[in-house]
Amino acid sequence: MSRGRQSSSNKLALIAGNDLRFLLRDNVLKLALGVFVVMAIASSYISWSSQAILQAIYQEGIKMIPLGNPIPAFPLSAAPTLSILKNMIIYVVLIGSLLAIILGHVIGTRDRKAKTLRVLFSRPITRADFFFAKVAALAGSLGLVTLFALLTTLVSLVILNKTFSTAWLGNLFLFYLVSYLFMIGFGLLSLGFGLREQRSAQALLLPIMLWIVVIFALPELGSALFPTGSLNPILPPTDVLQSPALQLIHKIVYPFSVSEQYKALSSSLIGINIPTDVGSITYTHWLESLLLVGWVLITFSLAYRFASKLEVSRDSYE
Amino acid sequence: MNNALATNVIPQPTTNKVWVIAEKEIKDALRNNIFLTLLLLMAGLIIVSIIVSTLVFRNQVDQYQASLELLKSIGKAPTTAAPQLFPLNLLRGAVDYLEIIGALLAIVLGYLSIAKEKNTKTLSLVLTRPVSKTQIMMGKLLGNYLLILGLTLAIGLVIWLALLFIGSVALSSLEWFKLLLVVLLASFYLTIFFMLSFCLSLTQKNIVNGLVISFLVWLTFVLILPQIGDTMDPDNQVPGGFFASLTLDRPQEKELMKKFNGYEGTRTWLERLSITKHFERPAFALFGIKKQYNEVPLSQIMAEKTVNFIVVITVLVLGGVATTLLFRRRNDYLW
Repeated sequence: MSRGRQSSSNKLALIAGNDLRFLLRDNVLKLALGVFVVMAIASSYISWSSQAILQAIYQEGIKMIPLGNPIPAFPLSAAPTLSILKNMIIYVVLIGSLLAIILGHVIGTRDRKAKTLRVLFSRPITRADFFFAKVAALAGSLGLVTLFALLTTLVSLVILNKTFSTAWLGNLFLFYLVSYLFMIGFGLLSLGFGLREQRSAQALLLPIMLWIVVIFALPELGSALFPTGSLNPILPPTDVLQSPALQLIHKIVYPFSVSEQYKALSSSLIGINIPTDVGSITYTHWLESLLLVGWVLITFSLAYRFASKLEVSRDSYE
Repeated sequence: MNNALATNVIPQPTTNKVWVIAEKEIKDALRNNIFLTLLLLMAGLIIVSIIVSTLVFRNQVDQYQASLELLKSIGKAPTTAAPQLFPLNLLRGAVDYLEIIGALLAIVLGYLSIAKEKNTKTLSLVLTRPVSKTQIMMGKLLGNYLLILGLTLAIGLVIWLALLFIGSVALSSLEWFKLLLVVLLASFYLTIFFMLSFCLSLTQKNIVNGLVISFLVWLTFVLILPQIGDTMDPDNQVPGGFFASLTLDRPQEKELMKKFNGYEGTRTWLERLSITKHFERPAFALFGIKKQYNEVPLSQIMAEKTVNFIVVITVLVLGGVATTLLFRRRNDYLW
């Protein structure tokens, strides 16, 4: 039994290792790493430079205030250190989750494209072994790029703010953990469709369609946010929901709007949270975290279900 | 039998060959249900956006009516005019979807056009026939452009039906014409993203990398650059407005920002770099989403937005030429 289990974990490591080597050899992983690093640098730099120019405008602006009038404090003087990450939230929602879809797609379709699936399953491996190996490859590759983004942000923060504190380090770590959970859900969806679909086109289009629904359609339906409005890292106030019809739709849709849950949770972690009380349920951070974990569990179950029906007797792929 | 052989030997005119390839692209997309899938997705998104816009507008009207009743009950006259419905104003979400999701789907279409050839290894076979690379490329571009045009026209139809049945408004002939203009411009805009992904998938050894780079370009030109103006706008950095927090009024704000011309110029310049802005500006003006264009004559809108139309068409033509040249240069179609 023990030998069997060991052998199963060996097989898992072998398949996952092969996938990771493939991602590295074909530059997909390097490219994803590069994109995440650029995202982290761009996010920090854009926010930092905007704040710096604002400081300069403030210095000039206070000269225009008539003598005797009180001089207001610089509005961003109390801005938390991590607030310069606000653009990163949007980059994770848009490009991070898309990259997770691509990683899931490549890992899920690789064996069929290379026509090695039948050979692989001529060995004593089960569909479950195969699926867990694929999930390990996805989790590992996405974990690696997330770790690089975290380190880049850390270095950027130290260089730009010239400070280091364990107080915000914990929140930074949590921010990337939450981002990882959000992204891996899309990766799992894409992996599942990659294993199920016989055509590359469908395997890629279906998870992208679901991505569009989660990122754009649900926030619009649930919170009346225009697609460009949902690109705002700070959720706008929901006073538009005074309409009874919209309020009703909101109550039904909002719990499923994972991107809004992610944005609310991650923005509170970096200290730019604007609380949104939506009526019947107040979404605490615990509830938002639970919904995010639920998102990962649901996508994992779906991918597992698809993998259990994996067609291994044919190598044809279009 | 002899006749059949003879038919095979007689060279077909160039236009025929181009059309045959274009037709195959269209048939492949229809057979794979890609066209139907994209159409259903875009239609669904646009219907959702029109439903939400209609509900928001009805809510504004209800609130206005309630205020009116209240004012009447205390014997006062209303000071603000009733909300006025311009049907095309309800299409803000539809334009957003076309510029963001439409561009993304065009990228996927470009990638799939190359991925299909790679997976089935048919391109090297086609090249053994008496057909030039330029003809192949023209056929592929034509086929996919027609597919995109069909998609945008179908979206125009969905918009009309949604406005009619959800918004309960019929379009005038002028509004129809404006809608068609935006549909045509959208087809050009989407084809630019199709060609981008097509080119990148063609040049990359691993075509998935072409897709990743295309997504990155999409992110930069569709999301970051158009949003950067807002992100860098001083007034958007502070809740309630930065200048209000300094107790400065509008003329003082303008005076102050004159000292930061370079910063403001950079913001505007960055926005202009984005092809998305060149699609969005005429679309918002034609639909009256920018309120100042409501009830402005079409000729005036077109005159103001000519530059945007020219930029989109120029990028489209340059993209087509670049794609064809790139395809002609490559010889390793066996992958």
